[in-house]
Amino acid sequence: MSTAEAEYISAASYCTQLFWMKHQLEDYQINANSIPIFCDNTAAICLSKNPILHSRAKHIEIKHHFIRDDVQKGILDIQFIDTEHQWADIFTKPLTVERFDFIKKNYNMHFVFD
Amino acid sequence: MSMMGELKFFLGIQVNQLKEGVYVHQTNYTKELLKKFNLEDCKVMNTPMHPTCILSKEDTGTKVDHKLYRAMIGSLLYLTASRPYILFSVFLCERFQSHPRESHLIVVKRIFRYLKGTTNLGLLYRKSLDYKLVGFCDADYASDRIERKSTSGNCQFLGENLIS
Repeated sequence: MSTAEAEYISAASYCTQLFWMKHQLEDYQINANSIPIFCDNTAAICLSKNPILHSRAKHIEIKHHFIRDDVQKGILDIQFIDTEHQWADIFTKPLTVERFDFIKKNYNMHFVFD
Repeated sequence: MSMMGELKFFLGIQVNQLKEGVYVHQTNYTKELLKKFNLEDCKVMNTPMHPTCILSKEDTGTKVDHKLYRAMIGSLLYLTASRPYILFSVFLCERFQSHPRESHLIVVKRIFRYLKGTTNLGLLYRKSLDYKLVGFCDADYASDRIERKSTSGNCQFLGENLIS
């Protein structure tokens, strides 16, 4: 389809990671519910919230649709975030200096002086 | 088992335990890498990769030493433990390990030039009682020029600390 498909599949595969982390946290008595996932594509968010099969999305494999179940169960909460504040941007494309430093700051990166 | 005091150095990863939180960095490891690959005197770069950098499977360029290229990639991969933001550039270069050419090596060396300017950069894990799990996910549609595959990236924060 388009970018929406790429974003949707990326979100679905990310869910697996998130569940792993959620289960790990449960061992420490930290229960996370309705975990917010920030995605910068509204079409992908709509796909995950609407359980109806669209003709345009029919070629997406079923395994990627498990994200829908979890959104309906309320374990996940997919929210929109503008591209500027999308911190995962740094993992998908080479960035300019300004943007790179901006995102890096939010990762709690600091210079260490011994 | 014996008590040996505070954790300071573990498998090349240095840990500084301060009042505000815990610093995780690989300063010594980065310095050793630069020495190992004779890149100590290189010029410093601001980013690990140029925004318009395109790598392709070329057959014409001069071949470079397989072992050197792989050694560089391998050591950079370990460095991603404390520097998640070089992941993308390392993974991109990693795809050309089977037939590395001069143009690919230049890009890898640029990552080292970036590292040279930021040898003592580390992740800070702040003390807090905020255990809210937050995820970010992003994708770049058909960013791979060779097979038109998409790239996906994601990160998780627990409170305000990056965990994966």
